Amino acid sequence: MTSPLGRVARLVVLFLLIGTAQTLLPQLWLPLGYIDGMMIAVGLVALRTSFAGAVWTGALGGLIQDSLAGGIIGLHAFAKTAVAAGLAVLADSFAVRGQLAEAVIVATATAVEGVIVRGLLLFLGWPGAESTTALMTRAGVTGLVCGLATVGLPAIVASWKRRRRRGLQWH
Amino acid sequence: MQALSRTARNAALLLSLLMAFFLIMSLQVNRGSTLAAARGAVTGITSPVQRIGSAIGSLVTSTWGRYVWLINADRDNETLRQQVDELQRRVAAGDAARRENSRLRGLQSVRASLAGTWSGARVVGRDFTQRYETVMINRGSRDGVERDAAVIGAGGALVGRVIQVSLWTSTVQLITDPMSGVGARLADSRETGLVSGNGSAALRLNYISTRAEVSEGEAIVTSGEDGIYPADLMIGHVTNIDVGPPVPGTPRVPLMREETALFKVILLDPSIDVLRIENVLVQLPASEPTEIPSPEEEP
Repeated sequence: MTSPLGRVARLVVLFLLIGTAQTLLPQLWLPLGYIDGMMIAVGLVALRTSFAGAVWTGALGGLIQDSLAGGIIGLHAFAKTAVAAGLAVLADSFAVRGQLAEAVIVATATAVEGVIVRGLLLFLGWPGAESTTALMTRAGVTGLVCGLATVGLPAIVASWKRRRRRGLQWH
Repeated sequence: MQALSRTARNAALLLSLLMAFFLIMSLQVNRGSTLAAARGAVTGITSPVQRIGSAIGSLVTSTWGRYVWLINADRDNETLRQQVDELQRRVAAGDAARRENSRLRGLQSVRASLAGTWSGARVVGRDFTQRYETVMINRGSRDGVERDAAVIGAGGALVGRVIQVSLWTSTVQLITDPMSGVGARLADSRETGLVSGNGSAALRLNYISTRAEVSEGEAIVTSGEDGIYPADLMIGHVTNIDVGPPVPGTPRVPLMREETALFKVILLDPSIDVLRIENVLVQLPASEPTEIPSPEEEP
């Protein structure tokens, strides 16, 4: 069993790694910047934990994202906290067990987060709001990557293990 | 009762966090503060990982590029394949080196022509939220970089300014960021205005009087009056000129729009392609030592 402090530390390290990867990926290929890895992590954790845990996870992920992005601190923290709270309520009220359902929920959560961010920017009178096309692209790509990560990767790993057990060569 | 108190506790936690974040945002809007200490702490932790990741990323892209190229080369005649492989690899490596060399020579010649001390830097990261136009460079406070330092690219074209410095890296706000502002001057008419991002690849030049003579293709340079950017750095060229909104309170007179407007609306094509910046020069404080690290030199 990991202590609560250990879990928080692991989460901080995970978010820092995701944030760092997200600043590097657009350098390799610009469209990779549409993947909101932080939202995938926050979403998947929020669906599996208590309400308070989800809220703190959203706040932490958002704050780290804000610190790395170079914009307004609190913007993504606010949006991710609100979205994580919504996801925790959703997971508490409905059965969200399938990986596909999780991918769809994470995609929707990304879109909702984008709308909240856009609303906050408008409210505070700051420029830089994302276009609807960019917002929908981000949501779609993030949901797709979430689906691949939760459905595809475990299946590939399981298939690879089966083949190894049978002594067959992996192609 | 217990369930109710738990719900109340959860609601209180959520509301207090949201209010705290809203307060932090409002403070930044009002005071222009960007909570540099908190941000610096996070980038300070992540920047070494970013530098390593950037190096690995370059290695992966070059290896991947070679792999794809090798698959295509495999279709060639078998006997010539190895020679072609070798020659093409040399050509590719030579081209890459020549391009790199040309970029660095360009920066070197620009640096020689500029007043003040400038350090070469490489772009190692980009804003992943894509809501702000920022890039991360591999020079930080350890290299003498300070907040608000001007950053230029190939040909001396303006790239932006440093908005955040950590030990190893700095975040540069690009001139295309809608929140950026650069004191600018029309190269021919010498009229001054303010260039800001336009939420697109184009820039916008504001506060140029409708009476000013502006022509398409005219160069826009920094005015040096904003206290951040040195004067006469290239920003871009005029691509579109329109008339701004009429003066508030003036009756609308069709066909006399120009008479009632105060300013022109001018769009610019930036001199630098912000999506393809690789090497830049960052201005150092005047008291820094004259020994300048080259862009490729890793600390």
